[in-house]
Parts: sequence; structure tokens; C-alpha cells
Amino acid sequence: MGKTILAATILALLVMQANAQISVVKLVGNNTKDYAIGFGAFIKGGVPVSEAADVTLELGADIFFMKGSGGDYGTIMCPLKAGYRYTLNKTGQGLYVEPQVGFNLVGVTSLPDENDNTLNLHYHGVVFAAGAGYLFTIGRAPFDLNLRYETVIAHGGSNNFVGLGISRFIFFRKRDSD
Amino acid sequence: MIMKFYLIATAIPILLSSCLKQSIPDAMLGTSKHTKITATLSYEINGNLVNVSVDDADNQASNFHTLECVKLNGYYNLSAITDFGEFTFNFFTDSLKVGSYNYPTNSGGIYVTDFHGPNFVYYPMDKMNFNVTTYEAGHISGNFSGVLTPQVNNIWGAASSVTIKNGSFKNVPIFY
Repeated sequence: MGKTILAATILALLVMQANAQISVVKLVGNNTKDYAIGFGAFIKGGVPVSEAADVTLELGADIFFMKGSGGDYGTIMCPLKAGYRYTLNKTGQGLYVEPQVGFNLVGVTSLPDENDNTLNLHYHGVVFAAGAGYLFTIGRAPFDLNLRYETVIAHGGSNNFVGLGISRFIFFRKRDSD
Repeated sequence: MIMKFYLIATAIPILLSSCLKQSIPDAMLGTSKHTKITATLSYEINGNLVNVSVDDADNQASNFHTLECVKLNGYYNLSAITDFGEFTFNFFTDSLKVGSYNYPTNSGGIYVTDFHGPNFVYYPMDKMNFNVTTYEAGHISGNFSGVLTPQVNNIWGAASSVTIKNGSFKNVPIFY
């Protein structure tokens, strides 16, 4: 778990340097009561494909620690997702909805085994997410406040979580109307 | 039209996650199971059929597992106790996945099985191929084949003279 935390910390620093996104996340579903609220860090960018919509690409890391483990046990997942973000007022600003699909590049869950040794379970899996949010600008900087539900599917099971995030969004190309 | 698309897209993750009630760690560990699962392993060794079947494979006697795959330090060991002796194969990986696994060519001889006494061992000129075709809910299934060399009292027999074919395993539980 130590290497995982180090990798997550490096990613979080990169994300902050890239003016990217942070969020709070919570695992939901069976056997998740032992997990504390986690945090996520993302690099997310988009290309406008119409006045109303952007195609988005997001690389992130979500980390969830087990309560009372002192950071020794928990779960980390690094999904790479593509999405289609559609603003309801068709202006590229304001309320939007965004389905995403992708692949979990890294998934590690660290647990204590019967002898209190650390057991690391490694997995990948497909990712589906449904999100909604609000796009706004402060000065000339675009910001994105969002709520999403995400599921990672692997080995016949799924890790599900909800996330609330805010980001300074990166546009790789301006809209025609800008 | 576009709202219908978003409604469907939103429903997909919720539907999938509600269908897959186990978390990924639980699924990998095979916990939260309520049904008895039968594990099987069978193969032909020089034309002789060997098979083993274990009812309720997730709850075998704690000190005597007839058919299992155990995660050890740096590898997974699949082992079976048959009427003719033992059978074993090591998956040299830290993280077992669906895919093909072969023994390394630089091995100095790895015990695989015995049959009516002699040990049949993988030797560098031999072949031992395992395919894990499914890995779900803490259980693996797949097929295997190989060519081995007999060894009795540390004396090698005719090289590559033992053939294992039509090997298959199903619902073998993984224990950690």
C-alpha cells in the first residue's frame, strides 16, 4: 500500500500543478462500511464538438482508506475515461450531463489476511460513469462543479462510488462562439 | 432523443453495479458466497484418464484441500490430490489473470505429477501450457496440456515421453 500511496501523492501533485481536479469520493455498496470517505485527483480536458457538447478525456486516481488502518489498508483505482458532456441550455455553460466509459488502468485493494499480513489484490476492469454538473467561469478561467456515480467492473464484481468534485477545466480548443 | 440517450447512459452503470452485488475484492476472494460450488480437474496422462471432483470446493477441510489454487509469495500454486497421486502447476505471477501461462525454459526441473509411482517432471525441453479462460468470483477455469519427463529416485527417464492432454479445470477456488 505504501507504493500505492506514493503514486497517488505524485499524481495528486501533478494534478495540482496542471490546474486540474480534486474531489471527495465515497465507496457505496456491499461491504463498504469499513471504508472512510476518500479523495480523488484528476486531469480532465475536453474538445468542443458543438455549441452544446464536448468530448472529454479524464485520467484520475481515487483512493479510499479503511477506517482505523492508519493508511495501511485501502483501495486505489486509476481510471482513464472518455465522456460526452452535454450542456442542457446548449451554450457550453451551465448545467450538464455526462456519461463516461473507460478502463481502470490500476486497481489495488490492500487487506489484512488471516495472519495480519498485507494481501494486495490487483485488478483492472471496465469503467462506467454517469455524471452531472455545472460549468461556470471566474474571470476567464472555466470551472466545473460535478457529481458522478461510477462503477468499476472486474472479476465478476464491481467497486462503486459517488464523487463530488471541482476543477479548473482545460479546453484543448475554443468554441467557435468564443 | 438526446435525453433518452442520457437516461440510458445513466442507467447502465447503476444497472451493472446493482447486478454485480459483490465488490471486486470480495469477488476475487470468493467471499459472500451462498451456493456450493463443485470444482473439477481432469486430464489424460499417456492415455490414462485422471479426474478429481470436489463438492462445496470453497469449504474443504481446513488441513486437507483436495483441489485448490493458493496465492503464495510471487506465484499461485494449483494443486490436486487424485487417485493416482498429486498434480501441481505454478502460475508464476503476482496477479493471476485470464491468459496463457507456460513454464520457463530455464527451469532445472519442476515437479508436476505422479502416476502409479514415478514422478513426471517438467524439464527444460518439455512443455507445460495452462490457459486460464475465466476468473470470476474467486474461481478459475481453463484447460492445459503438456509433455513431461519421468523421474524415479532422481534418475531421469526417457525425455519428453509423457504426454498430458485434454486437461481441464473448472471452478477451482483461489485461497489467499
